[in-house]
Amino acid sequence: MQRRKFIQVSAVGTTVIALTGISCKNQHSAFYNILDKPGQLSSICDLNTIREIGMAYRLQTPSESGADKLADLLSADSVGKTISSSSDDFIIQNLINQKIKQDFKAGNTVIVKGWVLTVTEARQCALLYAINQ
Amino acid sequence: MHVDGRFLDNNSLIEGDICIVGAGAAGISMALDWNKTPYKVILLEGGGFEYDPEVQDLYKGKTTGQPYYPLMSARLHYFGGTTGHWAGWCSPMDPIDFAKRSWVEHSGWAITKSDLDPYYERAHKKLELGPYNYNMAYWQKGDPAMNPLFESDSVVWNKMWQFSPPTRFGEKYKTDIVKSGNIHLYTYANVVNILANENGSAIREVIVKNFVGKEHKVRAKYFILACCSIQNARLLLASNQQKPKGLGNDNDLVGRYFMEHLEIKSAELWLFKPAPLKLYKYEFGVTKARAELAIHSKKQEEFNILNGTISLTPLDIAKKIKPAIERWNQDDPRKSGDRFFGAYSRAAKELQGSGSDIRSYQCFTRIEQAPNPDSRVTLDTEKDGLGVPRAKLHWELTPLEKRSIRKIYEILGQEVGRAEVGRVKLMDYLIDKNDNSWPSFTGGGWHHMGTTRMSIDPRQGVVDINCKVHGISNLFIAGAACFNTAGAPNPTLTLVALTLRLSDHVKDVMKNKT
Repeated sequence: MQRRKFIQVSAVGTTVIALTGISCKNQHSAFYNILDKPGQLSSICDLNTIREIGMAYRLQTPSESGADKLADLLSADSVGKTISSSSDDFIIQNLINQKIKQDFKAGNTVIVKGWVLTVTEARQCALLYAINQ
Repeated sequence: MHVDGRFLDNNSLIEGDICIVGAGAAGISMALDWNKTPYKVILLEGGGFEYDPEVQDLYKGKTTGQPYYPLMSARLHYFGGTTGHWAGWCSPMDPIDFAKRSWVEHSGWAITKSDLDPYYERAHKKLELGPYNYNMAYWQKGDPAMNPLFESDSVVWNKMWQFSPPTRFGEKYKTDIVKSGNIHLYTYANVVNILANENGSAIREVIVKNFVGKEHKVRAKYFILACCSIQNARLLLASNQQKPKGLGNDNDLVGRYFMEHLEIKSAELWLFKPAPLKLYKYEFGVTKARAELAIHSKKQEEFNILNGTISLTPLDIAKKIKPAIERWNQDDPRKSGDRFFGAYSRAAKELQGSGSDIRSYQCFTRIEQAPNPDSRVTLDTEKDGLGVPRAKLHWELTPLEKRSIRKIYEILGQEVGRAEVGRVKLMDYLIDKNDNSWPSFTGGGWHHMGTTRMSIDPRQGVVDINCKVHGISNLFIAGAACFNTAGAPNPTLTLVALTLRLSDHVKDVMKNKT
């Protein structure tokens, strides 16, 4: 999606903004690379399965198809605050895990490719797919 | 005592106080309940003490609708009935199984579980089960390794099962029956017609035939049909001399509401840590009790779903086992049985050594089907070797069954996730909410229920609260044919309990008469 954004922006000839886009991607990539790791799910599914789940979630939830959008949604922690991209990896992962727990408690689940997952996990898979497609 | 109907003089007249038609789990349980009483009990069995292909062929019939097993091999037709090869799985129905549920049309029994509880206890003895105790904690005391998948049971709970050895009624109770002074067992005595009085208000006699060309009459004060759901309905419908629509069928209900349990693989359970899940493990002839996962009745109500249970089988083993509907496809029950029985142990043997760190399980559903008047037994134009129209079964499911299975696994997935033990993956056929079709591997449990359902209202049921056929003073039905709903568990324990309740009632009636 970052790539698509870049192309869209380039198309209107605003090179400066496009470069900002690349810069933004670089800035966020480390953060995204933490967000796109569905920890518990990774212990039972291989990378390919997680990608397939991500692709399926994007198809069934088109409103969340952009990497930035997914990252924004994932960054909101379980009490509505934003998880800072500058936080320690461990803290980010921990906050995401809390979000998953909270999702299960609240019944905030979704069935993707047959898997009963929290919305947070599905978004993690979708983010992984988005930035690796 | 025992008499072989083939060696009686032709046109013999047999007389007794009660006549029980059919010597399977229901018929034998009832007969034994009358052992050493002053009453003469006639117990009629169409076959002998061993499998006889000519007799078994009488069960042949056609099926339409949802694909089903060959009718000829779905029941055994000799002394002991289908207990000759049953697996012995027993668990009582849940209170909700008897309740009227607004979301399940035609649900609700005229009796409750507490009405059956004393009879469940008695049925336990007939089926050689342990104590009538289905509390998980009780069984855990005997084996602390029987740990539940997760602790919370407010949404998903552990429904306990017990396993009969399994009791082969034909072997276990043959001597008791044959040596009884007041039970008169007639083998090779196939009932082909039930004759009522002129206005059809009472049964006068039944006609029995066999393949040596002999025909006899049996007269009794009371008649009990205990031939299983399909054959009971068939016999009532075929006995149409006094009543053109068949006996007990004034309201066109006989044969309707045929029910089965849907038995189908449905999902996978993936655990974060390996676990043998001993509480859910089953080994034929070894396991005395185990649990299956079930959805709490409040959640069934909240989500408007049917009652069912989930059994867990190590995924590696489950993947090696072909669906029952593919294995049980021969008319000859012995051939189907060879392909069916032992599949689990064969698969487990092949995978020997890989069972210690199991992280994935197949979730297998057993679920009631919604009572459906269009799921029914009728008569075919083709007749069997003794001149009785063959049975035709139209097995029909409704969208509620599929929606229920889908929801059950969604709930299980949420609970497994909440407990942080793993994740659940539904099978492909359950993913599309708008798809009401069934995959080719959909099967049943050989659990035939309904066809003469119970109701206090003759317009709603064939039998009354005491299993007496409405409008006929001396005809009763024993067994699962009287079930109004299929419930979550296998029917044998409940059908024996219901039969013992019927037995008590007939004894009361007899006492009051004298």
